Amino acid sequence: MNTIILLMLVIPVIGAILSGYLKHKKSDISVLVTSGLVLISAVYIVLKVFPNTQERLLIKLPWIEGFETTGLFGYCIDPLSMLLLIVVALLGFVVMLYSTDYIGLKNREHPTLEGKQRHNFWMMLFITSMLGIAISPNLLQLYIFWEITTMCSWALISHFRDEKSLRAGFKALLMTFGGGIFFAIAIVIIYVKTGSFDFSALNSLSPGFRNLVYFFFLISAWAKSAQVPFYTWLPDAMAAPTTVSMYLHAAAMVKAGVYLIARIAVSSNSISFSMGLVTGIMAVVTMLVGVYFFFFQDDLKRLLAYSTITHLAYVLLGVGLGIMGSKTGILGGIMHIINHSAAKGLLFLCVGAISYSTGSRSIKDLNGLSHKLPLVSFAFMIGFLALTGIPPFSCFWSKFLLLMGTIDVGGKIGFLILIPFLLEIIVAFAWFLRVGHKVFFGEVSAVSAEAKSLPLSIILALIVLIVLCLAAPFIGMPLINHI
Amino acid sequence: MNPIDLIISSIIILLIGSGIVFLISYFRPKYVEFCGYVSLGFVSIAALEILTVSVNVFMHGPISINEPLISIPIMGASLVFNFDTLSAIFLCIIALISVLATIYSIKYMTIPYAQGLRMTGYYPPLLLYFASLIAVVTVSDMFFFFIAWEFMTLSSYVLVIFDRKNKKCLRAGFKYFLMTHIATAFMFLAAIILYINGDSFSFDSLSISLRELMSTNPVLVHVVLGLFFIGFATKAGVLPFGDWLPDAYPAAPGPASAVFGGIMSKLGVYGIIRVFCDILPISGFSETWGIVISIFAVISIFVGTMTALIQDDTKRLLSFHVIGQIGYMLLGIGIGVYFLPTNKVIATIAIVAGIFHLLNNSIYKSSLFLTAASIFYKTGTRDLNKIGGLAKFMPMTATAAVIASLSIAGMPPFNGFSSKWLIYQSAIVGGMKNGFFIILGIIAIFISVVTLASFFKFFGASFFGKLHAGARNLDKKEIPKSLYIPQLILAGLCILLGLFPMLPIKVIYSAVGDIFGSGNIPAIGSLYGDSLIGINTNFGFGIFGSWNPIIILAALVVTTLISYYFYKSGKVKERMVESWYCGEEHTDEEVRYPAHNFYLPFKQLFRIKIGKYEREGVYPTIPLPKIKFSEEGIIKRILGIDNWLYYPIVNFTLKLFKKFSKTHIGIPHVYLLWMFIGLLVGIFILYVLV
Amino acid sequence: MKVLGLGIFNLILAIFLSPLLEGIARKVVALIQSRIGPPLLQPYFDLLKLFGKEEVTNTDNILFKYTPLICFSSTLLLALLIPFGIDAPLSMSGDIIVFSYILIFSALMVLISGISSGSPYGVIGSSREMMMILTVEPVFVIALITAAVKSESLSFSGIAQWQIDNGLPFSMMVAGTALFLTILRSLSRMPFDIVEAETEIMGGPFIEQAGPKLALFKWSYYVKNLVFASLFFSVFFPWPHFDFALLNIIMVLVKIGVFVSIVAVVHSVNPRLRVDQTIKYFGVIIFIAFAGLAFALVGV
Repeated sequence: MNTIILLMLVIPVIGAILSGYLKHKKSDISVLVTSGLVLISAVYIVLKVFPNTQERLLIKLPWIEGFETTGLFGYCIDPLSMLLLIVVALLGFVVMLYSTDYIGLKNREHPTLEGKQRHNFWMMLFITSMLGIAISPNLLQLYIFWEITTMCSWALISHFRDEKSLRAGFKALLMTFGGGIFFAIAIVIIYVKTGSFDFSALNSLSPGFRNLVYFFFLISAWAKSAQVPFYTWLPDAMAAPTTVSMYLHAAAMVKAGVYLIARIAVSSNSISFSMGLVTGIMAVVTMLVGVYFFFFQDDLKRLLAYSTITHLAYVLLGVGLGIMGSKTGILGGIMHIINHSAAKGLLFLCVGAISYSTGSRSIKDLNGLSHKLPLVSFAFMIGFLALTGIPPFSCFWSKFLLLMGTIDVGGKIGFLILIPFLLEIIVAFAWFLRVGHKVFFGEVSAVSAEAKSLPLSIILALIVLIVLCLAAPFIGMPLINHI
Repeated sequence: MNPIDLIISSIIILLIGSGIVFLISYFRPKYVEFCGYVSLGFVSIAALEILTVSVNVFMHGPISINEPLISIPIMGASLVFNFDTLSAIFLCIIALISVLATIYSIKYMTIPYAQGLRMTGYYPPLLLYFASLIAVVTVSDMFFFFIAWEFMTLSSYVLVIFDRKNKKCLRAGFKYFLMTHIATAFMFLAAIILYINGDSFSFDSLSISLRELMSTNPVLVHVVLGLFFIGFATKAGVLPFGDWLPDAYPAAPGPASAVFGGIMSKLGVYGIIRVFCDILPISGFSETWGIVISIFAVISIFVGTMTALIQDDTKRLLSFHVIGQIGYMLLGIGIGVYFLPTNKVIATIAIVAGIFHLLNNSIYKSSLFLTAASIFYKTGTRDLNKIGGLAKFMPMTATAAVIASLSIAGMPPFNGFSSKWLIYQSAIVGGMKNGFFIILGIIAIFISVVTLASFFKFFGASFFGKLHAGARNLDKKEIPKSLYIPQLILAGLCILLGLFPMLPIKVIYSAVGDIFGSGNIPAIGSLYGDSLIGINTNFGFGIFGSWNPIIILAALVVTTLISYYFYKSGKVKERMVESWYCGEEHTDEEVRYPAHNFYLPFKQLFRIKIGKYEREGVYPTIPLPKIKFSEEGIIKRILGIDNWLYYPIVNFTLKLFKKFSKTHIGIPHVYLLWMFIGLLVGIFILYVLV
Repeated sequence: MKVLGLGIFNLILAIFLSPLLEGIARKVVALIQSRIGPPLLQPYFDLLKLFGKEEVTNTDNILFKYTPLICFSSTLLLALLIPFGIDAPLSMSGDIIVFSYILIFSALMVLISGISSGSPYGVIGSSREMMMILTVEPVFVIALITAAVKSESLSFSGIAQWQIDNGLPFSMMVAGTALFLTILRSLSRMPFDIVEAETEIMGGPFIEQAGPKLALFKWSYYVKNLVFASLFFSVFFPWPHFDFALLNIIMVLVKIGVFVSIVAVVHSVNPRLRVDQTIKYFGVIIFIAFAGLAFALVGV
């Protein structure tokens, strides 16, 4: 088991180096093979370990005084980390498959091969770091990988190296790193007070410090997951290629923040009610803010980015509800991680396919695409239904659990959360339905009329995610049953 | 096979069929009729299976399976099926209408195909839709009920937006999906509130937790019931929640509208029956909500049908009648729910009447929608002003249309009359206990005449009168058999159920018995008399009603024979002449009396004019607001944290750095000076610290 | 057996007595207009003549051909549902709601014959007839329901029996007045002679009818005269009531004669109202009818 876990971490690094060196096709093949291997090993690990928990320290730090018993590196595979593991490995493979053709000369939005190796290199490195986060047994290791993802994010947002993307990358780096500082401070406080980096170390803190530390974690998660008040970097980060937007800024990296909070909430049972309330209220505020910005977006990707913001708030809302005493709430929040990844990933890939084939992402210009790209419109509608919670697609299940959690908390607080939550659900549904109608149905506009056909890799990636939109709850449900 | 396997396999067959038809129609778009035949195959197998189940239920009573198929412990949900007689009645309706609509589709869908529409958007969602219908009426767990329910919404939405280039259809689909989604959200809330107070989503345990809430938190009970009511009323098309219905039903292709009109809106009523009769324990709440249901019912009856009177579009006219007819069913059920705690006799008769009307309505309403589709098939238009005299070309369709129209208008001896008659009776007799219901009953009777007027216009303008000029060069052939045979079957059922009303009443009575427990309602003989051929209602305190279609019909036959004798007594000859226009020469076109001009003075009664606001009819359409947000709104400025917080901070910091960078001027002496100053500062700090 | 006997009695009454009533009405109108007027038996001669006349049609529509037949037979059916001094033959097979619907059904036959004739005048007449039904039906129904509520019975016999036992209440008086006006309309008498309106639309639905068909329509109107008169008297004013059936029958026949005369008087002294005027007129009447119902509900 140790070997496979280590291999899983090492393979993408090898892939990164290979793809950085090799040219064009060979680079593609190397990333495909390595990410495929990662997927296989991740699935193997999950099947092997589930439903138990496996934890081990591999490297300690005996040479630093005071750190003798502290683990530097190890792994902990429990249902929660399996959830993230599957998301990262599966979507990683899909996105690498997608990018083989997406970043190429036939892409009508960015018809260039320049920087493909760079893209592949950073993506593979990112997979490693994200896997590291998923299997981290303690806060220190998580923090280290956390900062690596920040770095990958910066490099990938600035991929095109024009003024806009450079600024966006810098902005993202500043904000997420700024949040990371709070993370570091929180770890230091914990270590100084308890002498341990464990997730459960929060339990042995005094209540005042516990709240403070939790709040610091919350700030860093807000920054990482683009929540109010740090949400502004995510829409700008859409300057990156769609593969990056999909993988880092919808499916995986932004999930790191909410994963951290979920992990802390699951492993320490003594966080105060007021902190749960802060988490929940801020999540609801984020939802409303995110939905408010829907109305101004003409760029499909920016629209999806704001939607991502609101959906990450769902996870935090679930965790907040869990801290306030609702078990269903927190399970719903955690399950939403995988459900949202499937749905939002599919939507991003659809938008990518649209821009690949038409060269445009503007809602105004596109119209009647379903006549030209039936598969993409089908996939988009499935993604939209999954995202807005129409049964039997993915997000419905977690949204339902969240609603149950909200009513479970009950009273004035439950009501206060419920109303904006419902409002968000309905407005988002209406807006996405409207956008879907506008873009895919109706008369064919000039831009849509020139749509080109799609390569096989993109179609395959879309089909995999359509299936995942249906299958995500079946993966998520047994996992959260054992948390 | 046991019933549960039959139901599951029918659902699975439809799902598989949907997939297969999707593949065929996607890869071979030209095989339009072939797709229809394949779908028909799957649908008829499924229909046979569910018919078997319902016959089984009719013979041996309700079947309940407590072993859950799927169980989701953290949601408290488990997939449990329960077939009581009410479900069986619905299964029968579904089996009948799904098969007929699919038969109808085979030929009909060649018309949309000729307009460039692909079958991928029609047959696959249609089969999914049938599957979800079966699930909705058999599942007895609220959670899975809602999943099936939303699936039904989803697949019907796909059917509504079938014509994807048509802006009107898209808008209708948008409105439909949005409104029903909101309604479903309400129902979810209600169900969750009950779940939190209990431990599972099954109907029984919801009922128990509702009973507990009644003593602890009565306000919450009203909230829950209100949410349920709004949710189901939206789907049923009860005004004002059913505003989407007149837009969405006409947008779907003909046979699909027939299925909508025949089944879907009735499922809203099914939900209301389940919640207010089955889940809600009999109590004071029943009285309150009985009145609420009745009031909304009568609003729908009045507004819906009055608006139908001024419509000139066939399908839109029928859609407004859907709203009106739903009102009749709910009126019966509302009266029944009101009287549940106080008078079981009136309650039972009223609820049975409501369900009976539901059964009748699904038969003639789908027939009428098929008529509208046939007219469209023949003439290519849905505008009543542009057609006329079609009886000459499609006599079979015309016959079926007249029978169905008379049924919906409640003319004896067709089936619509029997159920309406029972509803009126319960309203009048209920009104003797509570005068309020009499007003509702009178409105209902009056509107029944309006329905007649509206359908008189419908078949008068389309099948009789003079041909429209545009329709003159129509093919003289009758439409294909597969188009009019389904209608004739439905029309035959209209007559059959009209002549023998006791057969369905017996079945529906046992359905009501299943809901309340057969010991809790009066025996059937004491309610409807022992005769099988006619209904002799007995309301208990010396009030009897009687409607004996066979005897009345026999009397009519006798009187007809008498009048036929007189008619033929003169042995006169017949002579054909031209129409007489008072001596003036006219072409047929000049003397047409178009549909729009029917009942003008009456329609003008309902023209509202306040200042600039002018509107015909009583129907308050809710226009979707045009959402326009100004880019420079104050909220956006506040929420754009970048502009007032982050960018200023960053800019300030950058400026600060720039100022620092000015110290780097590249001359070694200056750096030495900095080092020296730094050293001094360091020493100073150390001095202070030590 | 009793039912059969009653049925034959009602039918004979309806078929053979009804033209006489029309004769009386014509005589009354003539008297008011200071004419001698046609003989009392003139309607019989009219019918005989029409049954022997050539049948001129302008359409081969099947409905056009058979609607007069069904109209007449359903009107006879009405006569079987109404008591003429003694029990109604079909009282156990249909109540007041059935009665009012069969009434509409017979009117519907006139309507269908109008639209299927293909003549624009016929269509206009049908449209008007439908509007009239729309206008009058609520008042008619409210009046009947008032009686039903007051007497707690849904059959004509039950209502009449209750009145004989308890006397005429105020609410039923109001309802009876409203009912009288609706009867004027249903018989197409002035001031509500809108559907046929010979001077405007030349007989409306009947414009293309000729020979036996026209005879059947005319006859069904005569029967309706009888039916409504009996409805009015047996439901709302059933006394004086005797224990001896024959006396009751004679009494009813006398009352019917009086009723027909009153209708004729109203008919001859009134002008025709326009459609919109009629609608407004009944808009007022309906409030009166509702007032009657309210009285019945509070027990007056």
